[in-house]
Amino acid sequence: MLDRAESRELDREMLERFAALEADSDERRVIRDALVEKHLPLVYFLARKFGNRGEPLDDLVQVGTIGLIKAIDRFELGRGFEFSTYASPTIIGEIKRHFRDKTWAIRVPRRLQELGAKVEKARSELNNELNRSPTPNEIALKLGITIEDVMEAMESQSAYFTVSLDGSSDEDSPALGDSLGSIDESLLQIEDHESLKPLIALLDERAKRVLFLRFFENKSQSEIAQELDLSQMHVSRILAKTLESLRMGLVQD
Amino acid sequence: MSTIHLIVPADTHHVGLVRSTAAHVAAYADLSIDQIADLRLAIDEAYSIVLGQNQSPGEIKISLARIDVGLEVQLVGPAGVSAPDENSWAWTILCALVNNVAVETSTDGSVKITLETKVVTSA
Repeated sequence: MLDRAESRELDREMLERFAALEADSDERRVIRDALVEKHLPLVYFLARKFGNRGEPLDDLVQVGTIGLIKAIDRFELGRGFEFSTYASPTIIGEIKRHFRDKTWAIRVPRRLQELGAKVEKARSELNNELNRSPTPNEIALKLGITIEDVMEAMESQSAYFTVSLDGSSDEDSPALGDSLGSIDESLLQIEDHESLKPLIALLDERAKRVLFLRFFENKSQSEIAQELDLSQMHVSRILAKTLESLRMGLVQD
Repeated sequence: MSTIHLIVPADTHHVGLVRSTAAHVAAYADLSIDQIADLRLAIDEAYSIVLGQNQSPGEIKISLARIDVGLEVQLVGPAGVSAPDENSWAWTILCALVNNVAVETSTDGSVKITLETKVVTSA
């Protein structure tokens, strides 16, 4: 059995070797497999923490392992982190993403899911009709439901996503292109920009884009939703999550 | 016009309650879905400011008032909290999320933030 320091040293050697090899080399694959095997107990450990949420442990271990592989591929030796410290959030991120993608349908009552979809559809139609964001009352009138129903539908969606589970990075999001430079420029007017820049750099591309459009281009959440082909509620969730992570990051300074 | 008062312990657990309450009041004040979504974000930000970093014990007092032009939300935190600078990120965010923001520090060092969102829905 390796002690903690020996285990860390072994990680380091393997990751160094791994990083030096060509992407398609056989040895790299062998090392990656060995690293995955070595850290599988960490995946089990983290997956078990989510074991009481109604998803089979095997499934969680499977998606957690994807997170582990991503962590191995992305790990940068120079940063000075211990590998397991670096890998844990990536593994948890994959497990949470699994919950976000797969289990929402189970956890939110069907009535609220359907209501949520109806409300979002009505919101979008009214938005086009009125050329502005509608009020809950206008949506309620259109659907023949109460304002309470509209609020409940919206609440159930935003509450579930922002409070319990965050997402991991979205690789399939549209490229940010030139707007990153503009963010940097706009940030200069803000006194804490030196602390903000690295925090913003850590955001995934879509979060950066939504943040930029809302706060630097001054677009409304509905306009952003249309532009990025998301629901307005989804834009809200991304913003809430992003602002929270920036707030946390700034406090820790 | 009617005002709703809410007092919660000064901790992070109650921000959701304040956020939801504000959203409901905003719905009845005829703010738009976009404005309500922005107000929710503004509540998160303002709550975090008045709460302060050290989370001194005490209460956060919230009032939600229907005013002629829309909705006014005030948050007053516990004593011993520093007010945000007008060039800070938090302040920039608040100004983008609601129509008017005002901040006051009282003599005991509690911070009061006032957020105002105006109804824009005249057909």
